[in-house]
Amino acid sequence: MRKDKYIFPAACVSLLLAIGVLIYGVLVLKQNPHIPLVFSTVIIMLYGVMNGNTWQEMRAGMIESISESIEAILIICLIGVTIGTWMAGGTVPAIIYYGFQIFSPRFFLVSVVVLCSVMSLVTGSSWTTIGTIGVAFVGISAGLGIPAGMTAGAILCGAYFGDKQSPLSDSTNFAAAVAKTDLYEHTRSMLYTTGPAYLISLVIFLILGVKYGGKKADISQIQTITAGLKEGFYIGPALLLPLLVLLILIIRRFPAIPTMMIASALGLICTVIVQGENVEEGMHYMYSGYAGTTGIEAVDTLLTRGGLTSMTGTVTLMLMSLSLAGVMRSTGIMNAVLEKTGRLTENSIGLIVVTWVLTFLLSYFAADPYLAMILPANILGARYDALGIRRSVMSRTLEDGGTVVCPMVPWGTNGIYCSETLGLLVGSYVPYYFLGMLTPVVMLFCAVTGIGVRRRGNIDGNTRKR
Amino acid sequence: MDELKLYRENINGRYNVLSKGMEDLFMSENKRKERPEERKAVLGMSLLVLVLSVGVLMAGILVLKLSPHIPILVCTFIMVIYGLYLGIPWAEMMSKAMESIASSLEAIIIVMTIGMVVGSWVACGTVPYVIWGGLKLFTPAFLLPFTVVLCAVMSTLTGSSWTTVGTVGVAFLGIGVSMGIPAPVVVGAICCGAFFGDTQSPMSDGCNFATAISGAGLYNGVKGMLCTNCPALLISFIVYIIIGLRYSVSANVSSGEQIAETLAGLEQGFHMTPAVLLPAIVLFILLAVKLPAIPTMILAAVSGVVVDVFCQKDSLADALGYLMNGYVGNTGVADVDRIITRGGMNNMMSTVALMIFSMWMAGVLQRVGIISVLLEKISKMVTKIVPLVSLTNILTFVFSYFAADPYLAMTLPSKALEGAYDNLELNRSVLCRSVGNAVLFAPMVPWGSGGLYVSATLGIAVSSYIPYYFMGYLAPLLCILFAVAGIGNYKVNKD
Repeated sequence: MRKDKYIFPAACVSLLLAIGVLIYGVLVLKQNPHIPLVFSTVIIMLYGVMNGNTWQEMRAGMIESISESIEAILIICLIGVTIGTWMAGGTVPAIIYYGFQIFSPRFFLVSVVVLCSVMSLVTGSSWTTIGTIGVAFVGISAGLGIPAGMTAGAILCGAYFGDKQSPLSDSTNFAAAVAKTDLYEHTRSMLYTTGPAYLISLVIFLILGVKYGGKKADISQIQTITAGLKEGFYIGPALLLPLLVLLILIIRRFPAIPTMMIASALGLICTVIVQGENVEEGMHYMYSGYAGTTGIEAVDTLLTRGGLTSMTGTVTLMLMSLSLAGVMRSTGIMNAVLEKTGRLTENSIGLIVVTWVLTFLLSYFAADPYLAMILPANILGARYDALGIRRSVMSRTLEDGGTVVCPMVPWGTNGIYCSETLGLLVGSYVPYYFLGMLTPVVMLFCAVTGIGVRRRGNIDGNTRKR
Repeated sequence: MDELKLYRENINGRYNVLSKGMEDLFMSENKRKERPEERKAVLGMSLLVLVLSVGVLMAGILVLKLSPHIPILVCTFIMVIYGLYLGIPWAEMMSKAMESIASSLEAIIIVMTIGMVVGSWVACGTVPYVIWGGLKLFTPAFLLPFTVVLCAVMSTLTGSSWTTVGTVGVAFLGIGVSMGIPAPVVVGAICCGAFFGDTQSPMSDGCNFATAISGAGLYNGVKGMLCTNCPALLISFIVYIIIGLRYSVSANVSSGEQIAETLAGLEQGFHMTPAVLLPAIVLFILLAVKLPAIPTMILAAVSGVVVDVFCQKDSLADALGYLMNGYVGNTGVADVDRIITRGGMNNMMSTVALMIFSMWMAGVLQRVGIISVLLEKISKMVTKIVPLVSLTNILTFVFSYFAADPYLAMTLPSKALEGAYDNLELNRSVLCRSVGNAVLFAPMVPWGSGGLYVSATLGIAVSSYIPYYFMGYLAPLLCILFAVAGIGNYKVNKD
């Protein structure tokens, strides 16, 4: 590798160009991040050529970087398969059904938070939760005299927290993959920051709810959904078995891939035996996902999900972003830049704060949570290794700055989706979205006190020595 | 190599930790787990597992008409269970699978970049221009044989069947379909030419790998393969002439009208100027200077975007969108739209997922040892020339399907049978041309990278073009016939 005075400016220019292309492509040209990522990779490759790297080196970097995340790619594919069968098999419908049974208008806001998190946890999608039972809750809250913005805040707190903890969520898997850490370690690590924030939000909603308690609620919307579920599926406690098995396997730290295989096999069994569909249809749901056919719109949108095909976009995005990461690593561009500007990231507090700020700014300006996670992960990942901090700390900081705050970005995909689906302005629910506001505070607290900032080297060779 | 070793160690380290829980669970469930020893796969069980897997694949793909993803997954599941039964730790099966997937990652990236190239080349007018020119130049009788020759030449010169299929192939499929020749026939012709070049060209990875793994040496190996592949191509060529004549006889007036309509549609949809051939020229220059495949494809796609913006006056956002989502024809003429709605990275996504899945299955299959136990038994059974050559071809064919990867399908039979060839004093070039057929079998495997690539790029299912892909039958047949007749460079040269 060449060592001369032009390397630093060249590295800075290439990096800025690469980031610029990415942001321009996504924000101005409204492209999916895939193609702009290819162009960014080409720019970094040109820097590599200038730097004296051979193609073999850069190719090896790409392949190696993707190789490290093959497991995550397989898991994401299998999650799609699992969700497809769980929808068709009636497991998810049963969970929703039983969830509504324990719904209480008395503690409306708290039960909204809890139900939404359960729903997000089992479906792995905050959007599905918001778009279905979220909409129903906003309707009910009108009858209770609770401001819609407050209800929406509660819905989002629950939905996004559940999404972050769900091993079925593609964004959670994505964060773990780009940060190159284990999925379960990532979700456990996130509990340090989102956990307290979630609990505090629950308490706040409990207090806020006291003011509005005692009125009679119009729960006809909920009844429509439960009736639709009952009509479309056989619902019984036996359907909760796949969920139970999944939880046991997760708690026993069973590897994720066989866990998902077993979960999807159980889902298929439910589809065939309990719901009485034939094997051909069951396998079709595994591939292209379940499509709701109850005729009730809210129920159908809730259930139309999953399938391997629903995950291929994320897989390709991962492949692209990991190639970029590999080229960046093999050309050493980040070392060249960080050598001169590394002062900010010399200790763990600075590094975590810089990661968060970078992710946060990117979610605000690039407005895409995936993009917001890709760049800081690639740029700062090596610093975490150098300081001996586990990659899971980075992955949770990425989520704290990216996915958790993204519903607060009015022009971002998440903000637009939430405000359109719930029929509210982003500004009206932001004051009540306590999870998004408290998480950074907790994160800062953790970073300063060192709680949950786990160091490397106590368990295994999970992170790379580089 | 160090890099590769490093990541393997890393992966193994990660899996050893993860797998502890798995082992613990199985330990507690199965009391018979006192023996931590791993058992070797036995013939009977292996055959049963193999037959079961074939059954699942056949039933899923042929009977239930599912796309191969889920059946492949089920097969992997079956093999994993057999592996666990044999006492192979999950971690080891997985790390072999990861290795296997990692070895195909470059091909996966190439597939995605070719998706981009096809999308941008259609949008910028290169492909429509070639179709337009081709429709004016060719008659149906002439088209099929010409396609074979052109694809063979291009593929031999560039050493890449995939590039040929993605560029010349897409354009000639358009020409053929517009002339009223059924798409599967045209695809068969394209594949015959393209994959002939891939097996034969010293520029191609497939050819180099076959000559190296069989120990024939490049020159000797290529000579050996030419003996059978050239006649096979010649016969295919003649058959295509005959098929072409049939279509020119039945080429009625409506076909002429149809062509005129297509030409008008293309002229209306695209600005026809020779400048749109620029991306093709760029591609040939890059191939000529031997730039590696991935940058070549990206630059070819970029030149397509530039031409699209300047010649077709599309906005930059649209031009980039075609890279991602592929081109969607909007000329208003249904036939034209159908042949130019192609490409895009999106279109390749399910192919990418399937490639990952089938390499996963291949990795588990290897680690469980089903293949090696079968090979061991079979290779002891043959002691004569004709059965040996036939067996090599059959095994190569079978492993092309099971391993879903031509390289594996070349490696396994040649390693198992090379001793038998030496015992019979056969020239290694005979082994080379038999295992080299794996490259020709590639487009016939619906879940293998070759078949997936062809069907995703050209939009024709593997099963529908297989009957017209003559090279796939003729080459192994000629290998066996030459062994029977005893011709074709087959005794060891003493000097």
